[in-house]
Amino acid sequence: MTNPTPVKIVVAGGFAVGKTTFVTSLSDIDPLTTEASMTRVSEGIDDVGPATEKTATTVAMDFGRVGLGDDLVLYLFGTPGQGRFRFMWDELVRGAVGSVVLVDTSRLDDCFPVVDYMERSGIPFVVAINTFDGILLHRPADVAEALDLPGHVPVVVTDARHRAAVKDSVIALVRHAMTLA
Amino acid sequence: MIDPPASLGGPTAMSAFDQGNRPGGPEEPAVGGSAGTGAAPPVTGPETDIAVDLLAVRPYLLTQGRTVPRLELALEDPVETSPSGRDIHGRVGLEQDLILELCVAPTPVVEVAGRLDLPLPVVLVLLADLVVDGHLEVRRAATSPSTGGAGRPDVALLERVLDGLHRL
Repeated sequence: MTNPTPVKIVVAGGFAVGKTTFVTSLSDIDPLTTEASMTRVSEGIDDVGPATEKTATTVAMDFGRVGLGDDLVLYLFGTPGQGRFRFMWDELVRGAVGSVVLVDTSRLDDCFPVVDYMERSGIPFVVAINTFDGILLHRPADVAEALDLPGHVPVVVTDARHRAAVKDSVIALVRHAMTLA
Repeated sequence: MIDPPASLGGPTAMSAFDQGNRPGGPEEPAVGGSAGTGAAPPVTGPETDIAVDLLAVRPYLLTQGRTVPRLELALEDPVETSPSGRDIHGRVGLEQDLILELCVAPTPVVEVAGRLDLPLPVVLVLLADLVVDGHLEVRRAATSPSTGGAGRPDVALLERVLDGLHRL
C-alpha cells in the first residue's frame, strides 16, 4: 500500500455543539477518541449528550479519517473549544487546511475563544451553524455580525448528523482556504 | 468538603470516607502501590467512564516520567514498523510491542494513540523513542509540519482535496 498524502482539518467549537457527530458523519472509521493531556483535567470532554449532562473528566480529542481517492486521506480532528484547551490548538492547526468552527446559535458565546484564536493565528476557518432538529434560529448574517467576523469568513449552515451537510461544510472550508492560499 | 460536625457515628464514617477519596479523587487515584501488580480494574474515581481509565498505571510511568518526545512528530504522520522493529518485537515493553504490531501497516500517530487507548502525549514519547532507535520509520508527508515550516497545503493540494470531497 502506498502512503496517501494526509491533509487535516480541525473541527472546533463549544461544549456539546456536535463536533463528534460532525466527525462521525464524514469519517470512514468509527472516530477514535484520544486523551490529549498527560494528566487529567476535571472537565472538558466533549462528545455526548446535551451540555447539561456532561460529566466526564478528560481532555479528549476525536479523530476520524476519510479516504479521498487512492492518494489522499483527510483527517478530521475534533477539539474542545474552551480557551483553556488552547495548548492543543497550536499543535492541531499546524499544517491544517483550516478549521470548521461549529456553533450552536443558542450558545453563541461558547465559540468566542476558538474564533478569536483562529482569527489571530490566521488559520482559514468557516463558521458552521449546527441546526439541531433542522431548525435555523438565526440567520448566518446575524451570526457573522454577532461574532464580529471579518467579512471574508464564510458562515454556513450545516447539520452535523448528515453526511452531505457535513461534506458541504468541509467543501466550504477548502474553497475558503484556496482563496487564502 | 470537610465537614466540621463530624463527631456523630454514621455521618463520621461517611465523611471520613469522603475525605479520604476527595483529595485523591480523579487526580490522585490509588494507583501508587498497586500499579505494578495492576490486575485489578484500574483506578476508579468518582467520575471515571473514559477510555484512559483502562490504564493500569499512571501514564507517565510508561515514559519514565518524560513528557518531551525525543523527536517531533505531527499527529497525522504515519509511522511504520521497520525491520529492526520486527526483530525486537517481544523483547520490549508491552506498549512498545503493541505499537510495533499495529504499525506493521503505516498508521498515523494519533490513530496509534486512539487504538491503544493511551494518552496522546505518552504515545508521542513512546513513538519518538522507537523512531530514534530505528524501530519505527516515519512516513512524513510533504505537507507535514514536522518536515519544517508552516506546511499549509498549497492550492494544488487543496484542489485535489476538493475533487476528492466532491467524489464522495
